Amino acid sequence: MAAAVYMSIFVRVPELTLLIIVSLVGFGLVPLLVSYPPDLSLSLAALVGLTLGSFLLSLVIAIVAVVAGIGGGVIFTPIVLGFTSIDTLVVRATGLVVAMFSGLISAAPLLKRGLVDIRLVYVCALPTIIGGVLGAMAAFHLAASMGASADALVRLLLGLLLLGVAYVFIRGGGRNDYPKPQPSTGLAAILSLDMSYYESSLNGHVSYKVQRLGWAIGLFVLVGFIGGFFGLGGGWAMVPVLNLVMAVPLKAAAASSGVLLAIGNAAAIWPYIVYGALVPLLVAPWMLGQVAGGILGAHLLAHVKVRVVRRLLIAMLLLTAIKLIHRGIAGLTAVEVGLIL
Amino acid sequence: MMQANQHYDSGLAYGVTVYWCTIAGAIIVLLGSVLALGLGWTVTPVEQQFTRVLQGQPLALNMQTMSADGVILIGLTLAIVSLVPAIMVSLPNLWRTGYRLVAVFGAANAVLIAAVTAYAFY
Repeated sequence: MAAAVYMSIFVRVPELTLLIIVSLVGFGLVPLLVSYPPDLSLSLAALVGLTLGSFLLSLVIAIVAVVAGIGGGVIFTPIVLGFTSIDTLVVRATGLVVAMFSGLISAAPLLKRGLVDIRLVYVCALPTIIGGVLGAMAAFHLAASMGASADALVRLLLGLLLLGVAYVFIRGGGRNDYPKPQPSTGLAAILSLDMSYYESSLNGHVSYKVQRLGWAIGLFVLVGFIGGFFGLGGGWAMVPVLNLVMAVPLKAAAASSGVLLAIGNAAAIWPYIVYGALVPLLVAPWMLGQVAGGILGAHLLAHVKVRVVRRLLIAMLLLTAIKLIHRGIAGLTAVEVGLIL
Repeated sequence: MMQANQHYDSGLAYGVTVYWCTIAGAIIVLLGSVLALGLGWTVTPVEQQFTRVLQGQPLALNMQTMSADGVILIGLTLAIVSLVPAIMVSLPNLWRTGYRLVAVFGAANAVLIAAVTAYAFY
């Protein structure tokens, strides 16, 4: 069944098939093209392996991210920060690219299917952009004022934050899939944000009215700030805000979150580029994987059981949080505690 | 399954513009990667970049447009900046269908992204 769905996507979306083939062939051809003297510190096979591995991992992350509506940053950034020694600013810059590109590419299929309403995206994107730029600028301020200990502090704070995110996903469970529609008030009523989408599992349209928009705008500034600061994107928090605060059905919230993430991070990425924290060669395979995986994820959203994705995600968040907290404490106190991870 | 909402076309205009610009950007990024890894057409040697990054050292790249790094950055920029025209093409329909305040929010998004991008290049 799953294989049939995958195959039909490749036939229906020829540009996706082409992109994956061209990427694999392009990276595969690299060893034949090499014309510069090799460096003994890192072999060519290791370079190509690292690039291809990043591409494939990014592709898988993008599928999970789009289906769960969380953006790839919340998976990428903690894993790389927790398990490698790469500079935190470099990781966070790459994390923002990972977070936004699956959202950019999945927008068209999701909007076409009616799962995302562009009015909701535009209204929520503005506070997210403002928060994102402020967060990115704060990240550089902290790095400049605290030096090396800023790295450890970021790891520790991110670990604690991930514990909170995991808790939100555990507590949310399967509830609030279809919040009961109530009349809009305040700003939501002024903007006439009454929406609906076609739910294939119910074989009918689900109507909803946006609630508590004023509160949500404040929360989106905060989400944008945290996303810009840690390079997470912020999709992990957008779904709860859209679903629990604004009463948007879970599936529409997950879909809208990715599209919102792309606009919200478009400005936050620039401070990282200006300060030279974005390494193009490192970012490239991750961006390509997000584009291919984003298209796949958007087409799979209607077929995948979100419950399975959610459980996988919780396990991964908890594991990474423990690792990050451990590394953060070790970096700040210079006390190394054994950990089998 | 078809959407009867009048603002549906606005979403579609936004989505399609971003979709194709992102694919174009991805192809440019791929070209830049192959040029960097295959021909070593970078200001800082490829192995040195990876070694330094993997060792956790900060990397102040000497970014030049006429290098594979620059090509990758052009691809990324194309995809990111495509948001501005994508939002702009979706606004007239939103305005016509009566969602004028939402259109103002959309325009503010586009202006903000364009302003931060322009500042970054400046």
